[in-house]
Amino acid sequence: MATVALQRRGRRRRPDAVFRNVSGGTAVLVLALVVAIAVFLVAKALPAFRTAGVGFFMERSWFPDASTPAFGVAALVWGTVMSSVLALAIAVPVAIGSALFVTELAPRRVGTWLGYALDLLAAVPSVVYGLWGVYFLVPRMIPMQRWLGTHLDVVPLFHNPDALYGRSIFAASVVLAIMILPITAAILREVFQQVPTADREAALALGATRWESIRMAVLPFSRSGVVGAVMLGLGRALGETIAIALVLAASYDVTLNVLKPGGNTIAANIALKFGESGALGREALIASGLVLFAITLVVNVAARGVVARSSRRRAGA
Amino acid sequence: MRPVTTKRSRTAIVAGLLLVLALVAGACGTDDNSTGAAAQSADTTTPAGCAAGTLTGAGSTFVQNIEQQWAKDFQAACADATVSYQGVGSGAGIQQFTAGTVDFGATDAVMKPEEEQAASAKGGDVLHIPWSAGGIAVEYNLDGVDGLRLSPAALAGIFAGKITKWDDAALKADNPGAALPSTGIQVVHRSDGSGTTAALTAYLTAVAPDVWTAGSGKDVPWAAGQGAKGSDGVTALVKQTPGSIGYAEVSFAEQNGLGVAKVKNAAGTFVGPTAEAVAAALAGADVPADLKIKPNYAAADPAAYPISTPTWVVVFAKPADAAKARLLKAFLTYALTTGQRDAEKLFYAPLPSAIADKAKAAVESIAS
Repeated sequence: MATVALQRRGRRRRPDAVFRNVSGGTAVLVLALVVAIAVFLVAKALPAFRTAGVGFFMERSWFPDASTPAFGVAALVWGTVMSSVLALAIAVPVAIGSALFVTELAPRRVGTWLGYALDLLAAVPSVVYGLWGVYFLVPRMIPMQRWLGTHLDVVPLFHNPDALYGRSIFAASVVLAIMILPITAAILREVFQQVPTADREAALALGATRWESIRMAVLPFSRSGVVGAVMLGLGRALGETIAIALVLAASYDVTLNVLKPGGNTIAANIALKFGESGALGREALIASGLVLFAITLVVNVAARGVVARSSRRRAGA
Repeated sequence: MRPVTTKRSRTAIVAGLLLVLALVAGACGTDDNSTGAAAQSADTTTPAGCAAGTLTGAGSTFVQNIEQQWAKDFQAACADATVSYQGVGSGAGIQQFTAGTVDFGATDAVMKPEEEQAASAKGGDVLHIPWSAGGIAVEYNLDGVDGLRLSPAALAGIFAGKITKWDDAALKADNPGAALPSTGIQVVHRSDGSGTTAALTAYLTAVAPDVWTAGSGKDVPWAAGQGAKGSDGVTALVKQTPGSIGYAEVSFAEQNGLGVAKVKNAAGTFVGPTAEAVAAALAGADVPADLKIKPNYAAADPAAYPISTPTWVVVFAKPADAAKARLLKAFLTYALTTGQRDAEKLFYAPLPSAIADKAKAAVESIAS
């Protein structure tokens, strides 16, 4: 018996080694890619950093090819973060609600079809969202933005003294929210499906209502998965380029007023300015790309931290 | 599981779009055969004739429509020649030309000295050859006002955000008898870097320096209005927004049925951006030996449309590849002769003969 097992192990060792090397190689490749991108960005961005100095993080406007160059990411980072956070605030509740409905409440057939419909939204190219936003959604959103600006004026976000409405950060966030909704909802659906049926049934058997079973069994079990889904949505929102470039009115404001036409994001600014940039302009755009790279990295690390903490807390409980 | 479905349906959508594109391209192809044949018969008269090979170019989006018409007709006439062009923007075109990835660049603004030095270090002397021209239309959306008339100061005041109402005294003075409403003016400008912006702001800086103080360039600090991407984006936003005013190449305004303002020239007449008016403006421009034409905003011709700009192709004076050089000369000669006839129908302006002759001489001087 023992010799047979040993022989078998010997025969299997070669495929094992091949598999280990191949998978190890792909892992190294991925790491090498990340490092290569970082090295490229830093090398290409250095001249721009040298020209702008600390001003790169303070300056709002973006005129690197002017006779006296002035450029910085302050307004771009602000716009990127504002539009992404606002998009999350709109999309996540809808995503959670729809995913809970599909997994917990809807009849199986309805849930399946709803799932297909959401997946279809994910398959639409982002330029189509952008064009749809520019030609259809944003003009139709003006009355809604005017309503917010008139009636919710006390909220700093909606305090719009110019009373001019159009291609604002708010409008862009709604387009972004629709774009990140499908991926977030799809992952949440998978996450909620992982909850053991026994947990749900136990809650129901204790006399819990549907809502209570969701609150006590489904949501706590899914916490880290929910964070993961939200972070994926955030990642897509931060990096979204062409739809935002089409929808935003592109100004370099740092203001809480999300209804004011204007605003810009790092990715959209790269798409808008690259074609007509001179040498320093291109380097400055790459430097802004490096900043986006860093923001994404920070977001990912933070998300991992949140996931780790919530799973530790679960293990402790 | 899910990502796979997503990817698959995305592939299906891309395939579907490609199919639609192919059908559209096919339809265009049959449509254009007639012009191709016409060009073929005309081309036998051009001295340089045909040459074989592949030519690639990149740059200005402004010149893209007419360049692609030329390429199509030239290829129809010369079976062994392929000319491909990518409208990536003037700046990116100059970069690709300098890097040697394309045979010619196309730009709406002459290269900066440092850009030209970088290119010369790579491939020797650089030639700027003007090959087409166009007007920048001031397009507006205002019910009941046809043929809006704008003096340079009024135009500058609007784009600088200093004139904010349609019934401003300056506009009333330019438009006696017009029913100008008391509503606000919504300015629309480009959000991306653009040669169109450069042409407009250079004009404003020259004619109304005390009103327009934002300087000139492909991208300027706008004091008023909303940005939109591309001439198509600007035109769409003007069309969507009552009371708005923007600027774009003439073709966009014409194809969308927007109002086009008449701008007061140095002779004191209000002129719209027709092909003849643009050609008249260029005829009054200084043409230096290096062909880096400087617009003359003070041209005395009463028919001249002041916001007119030439656009250039940039090539090396001594291309490394002699066969490529022959093809380049053949194509540029075609563009500067027969090709100029395409200008008007595509909303460009034909080069005045004085400029076209010098441009042809420059093409002849390319070593092959």
